[in-house]
Amino acid sequence: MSVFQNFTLFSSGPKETLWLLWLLMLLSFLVMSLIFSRAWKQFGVHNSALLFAEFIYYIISIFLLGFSALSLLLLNVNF
Amino acid sequence: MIAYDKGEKIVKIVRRHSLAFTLETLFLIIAAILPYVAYLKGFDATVISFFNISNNPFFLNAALYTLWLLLLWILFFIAWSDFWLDAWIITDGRIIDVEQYGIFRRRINYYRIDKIQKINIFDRTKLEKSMNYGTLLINLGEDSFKMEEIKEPENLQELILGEQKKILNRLKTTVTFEEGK
Repeated sequence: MSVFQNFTLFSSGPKETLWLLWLLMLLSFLVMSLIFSRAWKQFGVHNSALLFAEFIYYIISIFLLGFSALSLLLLNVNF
Repeated sequence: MIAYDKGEKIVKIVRRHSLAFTLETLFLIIAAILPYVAYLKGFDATVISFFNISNNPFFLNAALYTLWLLLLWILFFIAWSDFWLDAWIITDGRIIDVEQYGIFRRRINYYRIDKIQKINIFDRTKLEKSMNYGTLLINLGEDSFKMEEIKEPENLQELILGEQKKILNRLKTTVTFEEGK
């Protein structure tokens, strides 16, 4: 527990760490989107299954990012 | 990028059996359920005290859980891309072997179907027999390659040999036509 209690990112408090976690996930999503899009397009056969997968990937990721951001806002955690 | 010849038609795209991918997905589903089990066991109190948030603990749990789900979702797509992009594309003239190593690395080999000398099916294990998958060894004389963990290897063997027959017939027709001239 003591390790957790002392854990802070960029000298911020644990509450701010939540937003940093969120930003980290946003960054991961953006980077992975670029990588996926490049890998899928390079495959050459841009069929309907691949397009559907791409669509589902973006929709669910954006929903999860949005939902977590909304939860943080409702939690009234300020960065 | 995969390079296709002019007018080359894709006959079939073959992938590895989905067993490994299914196991990875199962692991991710368990990882998605774990926080809920931890919540039922009262672990949320530790999380709340760590973040020092006593009002609206629901939103704290929801935020952390959705971020966890997003991480698992990205991991799922890494596994899926690895499975989906690792393929053998059988065209009316060639077999294109696309080997995907993770997300960043890829190796593409092209083999001409008319050069194939022999196609063997490896002896299958009990699991392979029950799940109806196996490995094909394709011999092109000096060169050879494997098509591993593919579904219904007998059908694929027939398909490739059928395509080879079509190519050889086409070549024969061309030769006869030229001799007739």
